[in-house]
Amino acid sequence: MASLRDIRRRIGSVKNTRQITRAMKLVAGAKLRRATDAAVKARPYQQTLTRVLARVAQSAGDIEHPLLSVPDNDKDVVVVLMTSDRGLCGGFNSQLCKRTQEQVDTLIKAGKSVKILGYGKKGIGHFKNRGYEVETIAIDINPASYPDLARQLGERLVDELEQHKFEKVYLAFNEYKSAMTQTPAFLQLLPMKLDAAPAAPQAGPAGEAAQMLEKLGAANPSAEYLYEPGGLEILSRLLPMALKTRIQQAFLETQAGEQAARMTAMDNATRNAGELINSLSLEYNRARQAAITTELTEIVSGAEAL
Amino acid sequence: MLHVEIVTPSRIAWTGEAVEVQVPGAQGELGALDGHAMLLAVTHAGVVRVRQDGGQHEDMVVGPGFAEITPLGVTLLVDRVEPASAVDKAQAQRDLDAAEKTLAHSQDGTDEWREAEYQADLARARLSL
Repeated sequence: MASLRDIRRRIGSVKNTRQITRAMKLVAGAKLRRATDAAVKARPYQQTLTRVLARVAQSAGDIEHPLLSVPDNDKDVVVVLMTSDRGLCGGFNSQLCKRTQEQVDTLIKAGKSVKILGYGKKGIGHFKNRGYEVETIAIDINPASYPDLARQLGERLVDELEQHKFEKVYLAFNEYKSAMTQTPAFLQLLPMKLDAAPAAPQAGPAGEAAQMLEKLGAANPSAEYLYEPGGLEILSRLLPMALKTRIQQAFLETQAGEQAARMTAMDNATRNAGELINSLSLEYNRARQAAITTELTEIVSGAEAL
Repeated sequence: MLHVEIVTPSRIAWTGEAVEVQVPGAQGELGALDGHAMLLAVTHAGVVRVRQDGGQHEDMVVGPGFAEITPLGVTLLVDRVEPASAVDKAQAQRDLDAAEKTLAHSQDGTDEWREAEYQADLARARLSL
């Protein structure tokens, strides 16, 4: 049996660990709130964009646009991978990497050449260690730089698409369903798919305006947008904006998901540490009692021998 | 009165009522008054002027985007907004010089070139206040 001092030392170290995991949980909780706030604030932009885009798609009918058609290339595929920079967040990164690797392997088996554009250390490390072609775009990402990163990636992808440098672009990231669940997603980013059905207007400031407009449109069915310049130029502006918004949305979901996953993981760790401390204390008390009993027996038998 | 919303990817930057809104349209300055026809317009980096009831007006520097103008209001979707009071003209001039230098020696179409052009447009918008 371990000595009393060993057990005491272990209890001390587990208590330290518990303090750290508890602090990390609190920090992750605060960051999660900030991340979900940012996601909520980003919604009016997305909603307006989706509404207008659906409207334009409807009135324009069959549209030909480079961003909507498959480039002249049947070999190269780009995968944009978004993971976190830090670990200690449960299966957040490993799940996503595993799923993405399966998809990438399927693509490679089908004869495609896959290039991974990596955001976040964890994913970049995973694929680099396994010998995939990875380009590091950004690590140690600050949430304040999401808009710029999304803009730069969007512009780069549109440019490469126009030069037929790839067939398709996929986006691999963790979809934020709730604080408890984040699911790995593997979505096609380019060429874009245009949804002509307008999304139901939602509550909120932008939603109100949308509802008002719908009513206006119903009262006056001939109310059509004028375009300045033409419809195609509008689309040329709207589609890249929608693309960037999609990317930024993925950044925000990754950030929220990472913090939520870390909060859950650290909550579990804190609880486990508590349980460990309890069982160690029990063991410590037992050992202490055993030592006292032994000593007593020794004293009593010593006294009897006299 | 027009209901004005200036929205960026990260938040609603400005919202309120206005008598007239001037936006930097791709084909020149666009003015929207009450009852304007439904219009979608591409906008460039530039200055938005919101004229409020009582004659005062507010200027903002915006990045590229588009404007949705309806008889009821104006929604401007742009990638960034800076209130005129936050603009530092000396800094803008330095940014413009730096961007133009980059543009002069970098190749068209590279990441660096695109970024410099974007920054140059913004700096010109700030200087035009």
